[in-house]
Amino acid sequence: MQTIKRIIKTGFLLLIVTALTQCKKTVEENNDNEIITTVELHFTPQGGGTTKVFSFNDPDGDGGANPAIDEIQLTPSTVYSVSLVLLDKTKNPVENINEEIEAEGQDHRFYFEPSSGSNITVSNLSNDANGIPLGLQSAWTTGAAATGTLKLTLRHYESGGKALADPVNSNKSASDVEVTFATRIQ
Amino acid sequence: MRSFLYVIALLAVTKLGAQPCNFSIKGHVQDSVYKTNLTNATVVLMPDKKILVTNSKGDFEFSGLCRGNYTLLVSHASCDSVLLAVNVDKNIHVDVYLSHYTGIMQNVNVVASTNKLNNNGMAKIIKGESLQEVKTLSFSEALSNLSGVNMLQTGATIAKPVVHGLHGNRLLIVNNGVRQQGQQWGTEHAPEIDVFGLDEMLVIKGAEELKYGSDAIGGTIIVSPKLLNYAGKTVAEINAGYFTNNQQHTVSAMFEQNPVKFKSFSYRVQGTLKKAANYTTPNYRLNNTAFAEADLSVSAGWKKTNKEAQFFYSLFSNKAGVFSGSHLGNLTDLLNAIKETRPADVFLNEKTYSIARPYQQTSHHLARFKANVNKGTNKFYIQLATQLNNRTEFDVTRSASAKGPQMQLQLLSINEDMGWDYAIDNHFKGTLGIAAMQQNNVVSGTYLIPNFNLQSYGVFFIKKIDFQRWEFHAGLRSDYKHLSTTRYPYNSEPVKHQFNFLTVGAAGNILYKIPGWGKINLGTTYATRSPHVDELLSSGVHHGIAAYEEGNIYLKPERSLYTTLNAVIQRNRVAVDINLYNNHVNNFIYRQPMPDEPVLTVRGAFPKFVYNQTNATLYGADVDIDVQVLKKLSSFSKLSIVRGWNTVADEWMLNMPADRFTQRISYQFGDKRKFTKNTLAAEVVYVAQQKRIPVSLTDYKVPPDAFTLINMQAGTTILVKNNPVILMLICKNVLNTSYREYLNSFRYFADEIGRNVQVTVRVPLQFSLKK
Repeated sequence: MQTIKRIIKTGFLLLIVTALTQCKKTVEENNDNEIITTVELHFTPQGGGTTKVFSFNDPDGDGGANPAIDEIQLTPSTVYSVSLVLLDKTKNPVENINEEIEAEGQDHRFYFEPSSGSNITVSNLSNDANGIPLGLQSAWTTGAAATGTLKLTLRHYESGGKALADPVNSNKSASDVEVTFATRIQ
Repeated sequence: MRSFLYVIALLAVTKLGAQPCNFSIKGHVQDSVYKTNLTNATVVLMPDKKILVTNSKGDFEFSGLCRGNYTLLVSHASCDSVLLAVNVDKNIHVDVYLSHYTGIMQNVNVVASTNKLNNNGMAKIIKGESLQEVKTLSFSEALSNLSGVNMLQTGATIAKPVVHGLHGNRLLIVNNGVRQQGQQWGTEHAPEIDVFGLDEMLVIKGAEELKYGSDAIGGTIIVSPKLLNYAGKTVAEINAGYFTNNQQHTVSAMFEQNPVKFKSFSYRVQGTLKKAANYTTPNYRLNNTAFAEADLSVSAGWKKTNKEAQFFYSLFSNKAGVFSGSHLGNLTDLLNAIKETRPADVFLNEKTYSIARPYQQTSHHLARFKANVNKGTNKFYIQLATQLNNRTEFDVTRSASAKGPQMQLQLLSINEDMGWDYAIDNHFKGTLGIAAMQQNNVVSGTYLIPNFNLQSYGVFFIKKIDFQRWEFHAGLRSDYKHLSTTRYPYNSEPVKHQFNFLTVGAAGNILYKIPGWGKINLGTTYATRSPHVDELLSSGVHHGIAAYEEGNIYLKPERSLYTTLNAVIQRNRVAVDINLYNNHVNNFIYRQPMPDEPVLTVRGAFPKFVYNQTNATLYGADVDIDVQVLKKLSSFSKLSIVRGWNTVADEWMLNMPADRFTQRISYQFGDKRKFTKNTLAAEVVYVAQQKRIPVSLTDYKVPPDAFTLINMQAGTTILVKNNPVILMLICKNVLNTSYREYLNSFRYFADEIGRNVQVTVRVPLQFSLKK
């Protein structure tokens, strides 16, 4: 019986000890991650005028509160220089992702797909180091007053292979951004 | 079953001179279950190389032997080899119990050296030679050789076991007496166990499960290493294997010793290394599907007549690439990938061992201490175990400078178990035990599940009554769990939750033995499983299926009523094992589609799924039929059928395994000089298309077509200086058939693995030690 008692005693002792050793670490989420929360389009009319900014903004990332998506409002028969700004607002300070995309330009590509009847034409996409469109800068030409949509897609070539003829749904690349804006020319 | 079995007795070790050589070893060979005498079993005595054949009563006798420590190697034509130590200092009688096949769930049993499981509910086992055949495979793949067990896969290299349609937290995995605590909830999280360290793998349903938890809704998988030897032996074993498909090479070694000078002490060291390159389907190789694994285990034991203490430590560590073409950013990408017949060329045909993002890295430490004390027919035990599970996932990143993982989960678990096994007499036995666990989970990176702290306390009682042809088994268990969770979102206050769950499990079982025929077994198990943290609180995009999943803090425990009817009939040349089951689960937790609430993200809209509860009925049958067609020709048939029905939505359930039928024919050649146990086997596997799918839930692609695979296998044992060297050649998917499995998430965009030829060598070594 002595041995049994000893075993039971040891058992309870160890039980108590282990129950007490509860370590807690606090690690904030998303420290090292590359999240895009915000896509800004900066419109500057060619030939002068004030710059307008329209954005997709989801500062808390996927889920949670719904993203805010601006309607893109442009003036008829105008040519705009458009620059994209991509941000990660979950970081403090806010992280600008343009630099990364620029540095890895040969593995990224933006596509602009205006709906038919939106009277928007997107051209002159800026190129990557290999002379293939990247699209951080582009020129938008508006026609007569109209409403429509524009789908903006950022494709990431994880294993390379980016080529001029690749369509937006090339299976060589995956989507990092797919945002649809309502557009209005008035 | 005459001559279906044969026994090689290997006699080695010390002979002391100047002793009269007039001792004998008498032996008796019997079937382990039905106790029929096995005639024409071959017994070879080494090093004298005396060969005997058992007579019609199953007896053999070697006489004129000298005093010394002998070892018997007991083998079977198509299944098992067992080494049996015999110390001859008087005339010895040995009883050898054999079971004649692998598919039906009994195997070679040698008296006094088995990990005897006191379960008479449903039990399926892989051990002995049938385990040797699959030791080079992953845990789940090895286990899937049992009828009723399938795999939930992420490509060919990451797999989880599915038992009777259920997986993850609905299955308990017990590794060396300790319930495995990893991140079982994830579909891409494979169990962290090295098959080389194991001696047997079991799937059970019945009262025995209550020792490990009250929440085994789908069953319990119990895996254990060989018992330590206290027979004064020094034994080693070396395994090596090579797979042609992915240039995988595997080496495993084991050394164990019971030092002659410290008879009460025994130890074992075992380790495994695996390295594999990208694997190939019949038409293309999938980039970044390489993996590497390194495992180690150390056991030490101390044993006296009435006391025993054991220490065990194991480390599993693994790094596995995930096919680079499987990274799908959003729903559009998934739909595009499904439209294509094959992945883009940029993701194919690199023949390399190197692993790039995306990949996962895991390590699992298990340390366990167990002590027993026997007092008459009472046995008291205490077990303490600590597990540390580290899982890191490295996703595709934009900047090449990113070094760290995108998600990291660290789970520390501490278990304390105490119990009392008693036997009033040979007919009444029981176990009473208490169990406690403390668990702490630390997460960082992308949010999927929160940090949590879990305290759990359980008590159980199992009773066994054995009365002539009848056996009754019953048990009861209750667990109390307290769970507290904390999420630390960026730029805002921590989110905390508290949960308490009380769960109950119960089991009852009746077994009737029909002499000369077999046994029939009827069992019912009640289990309650409290919702896991991921079901309560997960939230995020599940990329493989392009779905946004959200937990539900109002979930209640699942309650399962599981009934099995199992018949094992063994008569003349035919053995049949039929298992019918019905598992009714109330409050079954599943992902309910919310088609009206898509989640809009920067990568577009994702369909939303919320964890919700329904009632479900899972039912099915496993049938194993073994026939000794001719003296040297055997047939093994396996059929698995499982159905899952959502009784609230009144439709089939998602992801239920398709019907599967396996037919194997094995031929045993006669011995040719040094070549013994020469076997050749061919296998046809037919898997039907899964047509029973839910209608309310859109699957983006119909389940893959039915397919048929052909596998071949040849084996031989060569005696090199009285040591057996076992060679095996296995060819899987001989015809290099292109096919896709319903339960593999890669079925959306890539084929399954193509032809794979595997060569393995196993060398058990016995060392002679002078006294």
